[in-house]
Amino acid sequence: MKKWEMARSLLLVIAGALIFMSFRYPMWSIYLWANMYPNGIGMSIYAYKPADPPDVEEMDGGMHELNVLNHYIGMKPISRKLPVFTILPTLLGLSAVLLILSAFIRRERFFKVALWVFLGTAVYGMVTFFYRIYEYGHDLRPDAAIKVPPFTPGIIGWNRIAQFETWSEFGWGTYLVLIAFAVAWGVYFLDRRFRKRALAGERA
Amino acid sequence: MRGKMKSKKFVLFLTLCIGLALLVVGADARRRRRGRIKRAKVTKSQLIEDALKVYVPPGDFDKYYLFLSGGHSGQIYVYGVPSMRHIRTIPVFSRYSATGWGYEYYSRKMMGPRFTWGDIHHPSLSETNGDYDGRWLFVNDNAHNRLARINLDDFKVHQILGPVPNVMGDHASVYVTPNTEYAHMASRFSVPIPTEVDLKNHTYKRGTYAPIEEYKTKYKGVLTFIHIDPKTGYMDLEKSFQILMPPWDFDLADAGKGPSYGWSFFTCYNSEAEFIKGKPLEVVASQRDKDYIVAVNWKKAEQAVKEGKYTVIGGMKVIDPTKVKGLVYAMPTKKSPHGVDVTPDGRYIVGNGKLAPVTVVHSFEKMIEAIKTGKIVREDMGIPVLDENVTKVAEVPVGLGPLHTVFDDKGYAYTSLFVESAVAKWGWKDGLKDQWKMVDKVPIQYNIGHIAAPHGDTVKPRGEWVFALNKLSKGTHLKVGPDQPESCQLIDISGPKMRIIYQAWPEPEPHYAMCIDAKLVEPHVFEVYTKETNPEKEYAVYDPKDARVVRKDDHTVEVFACEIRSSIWPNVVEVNEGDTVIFHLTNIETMRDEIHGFGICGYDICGVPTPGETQTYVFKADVPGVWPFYCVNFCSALHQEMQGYLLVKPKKK
Repeated sequence: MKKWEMARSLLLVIAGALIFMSFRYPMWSIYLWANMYPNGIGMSIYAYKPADPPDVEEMDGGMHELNVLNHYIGMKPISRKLPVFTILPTLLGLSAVLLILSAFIRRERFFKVALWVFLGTAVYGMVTFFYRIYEYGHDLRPDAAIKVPPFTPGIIGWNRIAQFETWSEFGWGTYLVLIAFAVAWGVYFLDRRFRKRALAGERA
Repeated sequence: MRGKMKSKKFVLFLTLCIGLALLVVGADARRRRRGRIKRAKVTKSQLIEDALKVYVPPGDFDKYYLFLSGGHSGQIYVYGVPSMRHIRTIPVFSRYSATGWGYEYYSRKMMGPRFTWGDIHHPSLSETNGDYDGRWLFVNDNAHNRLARINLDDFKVHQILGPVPNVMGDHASVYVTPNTEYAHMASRFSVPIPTEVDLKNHTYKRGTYAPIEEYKTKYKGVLTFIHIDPKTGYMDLEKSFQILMPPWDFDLADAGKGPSYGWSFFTCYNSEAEFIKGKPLEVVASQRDKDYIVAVNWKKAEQAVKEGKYTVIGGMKVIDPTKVKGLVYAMPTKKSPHGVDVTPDGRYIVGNGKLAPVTVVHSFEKMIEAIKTGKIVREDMGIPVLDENVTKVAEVPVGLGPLHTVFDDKGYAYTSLFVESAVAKWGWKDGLKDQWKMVDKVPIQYNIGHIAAPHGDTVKPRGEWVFALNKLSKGTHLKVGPDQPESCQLIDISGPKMRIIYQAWPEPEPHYAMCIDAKLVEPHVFEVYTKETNPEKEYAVYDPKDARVVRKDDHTVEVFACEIRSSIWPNVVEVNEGDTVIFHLTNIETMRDEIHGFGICGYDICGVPTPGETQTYVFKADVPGVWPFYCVNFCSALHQEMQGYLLVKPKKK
């Protein structure tokens, strides 16, 4: 039991740390190529802001160029002021703190609360992401110079928009959160396994 | 038992982790590898074949002249094709010390005191029976509404006309009619009229004021037909006329030929007729699904002018098409059409709808039929609009952002696609199985505007090549800092697929270009002025003994000078401080390319008289002292010794 107690604390602290680390990496990126952008342009979504992709130095343009192009088809400029860029970092931070505290506060209820907060954060993140992607591609200004039918930008893999080939991918920002998620919930299930064993052991 | 299960689970877990990592890393690598747009691989033998097509060895000559407009540099660039080498710059609206243009008296007078630059967009070679005849090159000034004529016997500007009253933002210009009867000018920018000019001094006297809220009623579009003398090429405002139009912002033009001879076609992009303070025009002018190609019967308009059916506005004869019927018709065309190009046989009118992915083709015969049978769907601001279901024969899906179209000798058209950065080839000729179908597309570097071809807009295009006049050259040449040259790519159209085989980087910034068979120009180009052809022969001095300094009055001195290898006569010129000095300089060489220069240290004079030519420089000797003058253009072994002194005697205090 003692061994597990220690392992458990360590794992929860790691989960919290991973969440904090995830801020530093893009959660999702989209890259676009066309004849006049041989090195591509693109943008990345971090938990707290939309920005240029991390390898923008080797490319032909970043978020600013993308916004300039998008205005011809009437797409809104990608804005830092969207609520998600304040709410998500707050929720993630809260989840991380609760998880780390759960390493030391041995209350099952406390741990459960932390896990549900974390789950809620993940659900909020996913729902907002899908909603915004859809909205940006469908909420086009009717007085745009070039009229394109409303579309959903590709979420993953290779796609095509007008003359652009696009590649979308999730980044380490998302992966680290997913791993933290797996670790936190893994600890929860292992907790139950070990408690069962302990009880069984006591009985025996 | 449990131990084994544990290790199995662990192995499974580890495999999943590694698998996930590989997926993530692999995806990234795939993206990076495929991401860069790769150029097509060319075999060595193909490379050699391409190189030989464009290589013109020293001593041989190019086959075609390519006259590129210089945009806001106010110049024309002369290139040779297929070598794509810049041979010469012809200065027009901007000073050019390399040839002394704008420093010498008569060119300064032609440019006028107010404007030191112009914006040349579209050069137009003179035509006879719809094909280039190699006599003159006309150019427009999009900024200050002027036209210039370059004579192709000495490659110099001989006339600058303007600013022309009432027309503003002369973009739909020049596009001469098939026998060089008229040059076109039209208002890209609608303004209230008249705009009054001082023609002699090439400047504006007064425009007309109206608040922007009255755009729809008070601001006007003006189509202009400038008369050109068939023998001398002289452009004459007295014989010219204008047509008053709604403020539709006219973009480009082309003259009808063959069956459509006597008609001209103009595109417009703001048939919405709106300009709103604070709201971008790019939004306002792009609302309607279709704007117009406006067809003008200039032959009939000419007749109307003879019959006196005009009013004089700003000194120009202006016809109101809502009062004189039958002159102007509008054909709806998708969508903010940019270039309008008439096919070589004169039967089809191609509208390049820059915001739509198609070129719209109207038939001239159908247009006449629609007019005769009264198929007019409505009147838009007084202009009859024809039924496009009658006039339109095809919409060719060429791709994103079509701007301009030129033609080859095999019945194919080549359209530039700005947004897509490519050139599309499609068939237009009757009898072609590919008629109205796109057959080929080639990406170009980058973002093509105009497109040109040998005799490409005449009744007899020569084929062989197509020139992509691109807007961006980034990354295709050695880095040269933030200011970048333009990009002109040579496309070989002789094979089944279009191939880009060469690239040149013209100075900023060519818009359109004219490509003419050298055999039509070279025979009448001269390289030395004779005593008869010397434009300032009355001031010429052909013998150094006759070189002299003459005091005309208390504050004017006239110098009659000459230069020949390797001296300038007189080599001492004495004037008083404050004198106006009129300096006539004759280059008395008789050998071609023996060009001399003339510059005065400390004074802003730079002259370059060519063999046999007399030039005049006028300046005020406002700074006393001793100021050397010298030959600025390297001419001979003793060029360094070719100097003299200007002695400016100080005023007695």
